[in-house]
Amino acid sequence: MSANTHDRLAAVRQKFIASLKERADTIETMLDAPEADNEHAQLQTLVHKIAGSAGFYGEQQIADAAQRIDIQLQQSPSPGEITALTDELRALIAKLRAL
Amino acid sequence: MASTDSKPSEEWLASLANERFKPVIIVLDESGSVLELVGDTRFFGLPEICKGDHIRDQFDFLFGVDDLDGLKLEFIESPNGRALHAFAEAWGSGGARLSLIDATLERDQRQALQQKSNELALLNAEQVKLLAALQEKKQEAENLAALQSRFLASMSHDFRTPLASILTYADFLQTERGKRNVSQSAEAIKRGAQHLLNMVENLIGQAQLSLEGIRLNPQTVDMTTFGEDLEALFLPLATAKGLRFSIEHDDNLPRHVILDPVRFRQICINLLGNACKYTELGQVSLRFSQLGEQLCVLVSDTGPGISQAAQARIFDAFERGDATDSKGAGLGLHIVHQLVALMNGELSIRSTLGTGTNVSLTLPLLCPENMEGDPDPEVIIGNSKTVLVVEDDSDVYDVLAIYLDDAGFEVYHADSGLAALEMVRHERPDAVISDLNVPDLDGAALTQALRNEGYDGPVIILTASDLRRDRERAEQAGCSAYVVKPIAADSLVAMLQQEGSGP
Repeated sequence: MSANTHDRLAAVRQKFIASLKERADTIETMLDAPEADNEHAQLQTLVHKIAGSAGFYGEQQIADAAQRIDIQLQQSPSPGEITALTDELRALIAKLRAL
Repeated sequence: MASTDSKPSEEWLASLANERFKPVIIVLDESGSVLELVGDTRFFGLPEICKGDHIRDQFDFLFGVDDLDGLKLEFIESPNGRALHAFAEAWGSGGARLSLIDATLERDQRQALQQKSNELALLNAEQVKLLAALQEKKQEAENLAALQSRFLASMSHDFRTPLASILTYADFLQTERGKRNVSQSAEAIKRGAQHLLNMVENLIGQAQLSLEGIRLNPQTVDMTTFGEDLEALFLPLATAKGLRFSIEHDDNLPRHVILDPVRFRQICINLLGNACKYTELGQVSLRFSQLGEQLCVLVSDTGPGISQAAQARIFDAFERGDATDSKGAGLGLHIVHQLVALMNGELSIRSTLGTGTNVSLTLPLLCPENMEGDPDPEVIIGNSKTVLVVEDDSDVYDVLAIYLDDAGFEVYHADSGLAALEMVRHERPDAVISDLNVPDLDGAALTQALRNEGYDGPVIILTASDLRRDRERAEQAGCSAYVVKPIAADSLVAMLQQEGSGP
């Protein structure tokens, strides 16, 4: 891999991590103050995107964790199960912030 | 009993017989002219005759015979469809007496009886057929029940090994030393669980395909990782029994081969599981090597060995080396034998009582380079210079584009299925990589549209969801490969690139 490629990768990775941290904030807001009706769908889209992209940046653990949550969200869990998912989501948020 | 009828008895009898039989009696002289006549021939649809008529022509059926005397013809069909009996006897000098009596009722009753008997025979045949079908169904049900119990026994056998490994590592995690090596144990537990998951997924797949049998799913297998996984599964079991354990690779063996990894792992686990189970002292080893065009696997142990007689039966279901053995259902080798046959391989066993056992397995060796027409991305995109990436998540596109660019590909980008379709029409890229979940046309629909337009380059579908129906849809649409995320960008590019023939 050329030095140039390396630099370009570092740049997009930085951008990606910054956007992950923003998404961590968004998810946290949704968890802390649930309100909107379509929040479940928004949350799922957010997590699904993380699941699909993190692997490409070598963040396999985050991709795996997001994928597990994504699968559960896709199965339209009941409100009780969503609460149980909260712990997993908070763990994901912590992982994103630790990047 | 007094008759109320005024007729005398003989006359009464004659009238009864007349009613029932409609007799016609004709006396002929030697020339065939009617001398006497009783009854009416018209009842049988015959021409009316009178005394003095010459009737040879009308009754020709009676006159072809040499000796008319004593002639008896039964159930003759008359011109009007009735049945009649005809009798003839000699009369006078050279003459004859002919008697015709009606037999229609008798004929009809006979026919009805015959009909009944035919129907009964038919019913009987039907019944025999039904019984045979029933017998067949019963046999099928019995076979299925036997299959089910064999299947359950084999499942518990196959689940035991990874579960034992998971439990061992979980125990280890609770020790002081284990607490300092968490990630190694977690990795081993994950591998055990992954193997269980693979088996469960296979079960689901098999349940869907149970009537068609097992479908192999050949993929590129990294033999080094494969060996490490086996070692992580068995080392704790072997060590716990005080056995030496090793997995070896011959230097000449290619690192990547094409195999169904789940089935191959199942075979190796069964062979190693047996070796570890029966060996109480010494060692168990597995060696991978290449012999000509064959991949060889040799599993050796220093266990009690298997007698010649037992070796002959060893690949049959429910057979075990020794009838007193209670360690398993005796299915492992039976399954291995079937799987090996399915993979066009051969299995042989050499054993000496008291010394140990060698089980040797050979499979056709296929490497990613010499797989022709296989939907393996390494091969299919080997000569591509330009790639269209269809992806609406810019995070994914950014990183893929950099890796592809670095690998020498010229990269085009489309963020929806329709945009991709336009792009392919104008730029004709050599290959297309598309996310399954893109706007407008999803990856599968895009593949279908491209194939409909005659695009014949490789189309690789990336997806985060390994749902059977998605995979089937994409494959039916004509995608060249279906790759499940999460995947690292560099390994995707490595997959896309055939060594030496890339751009």
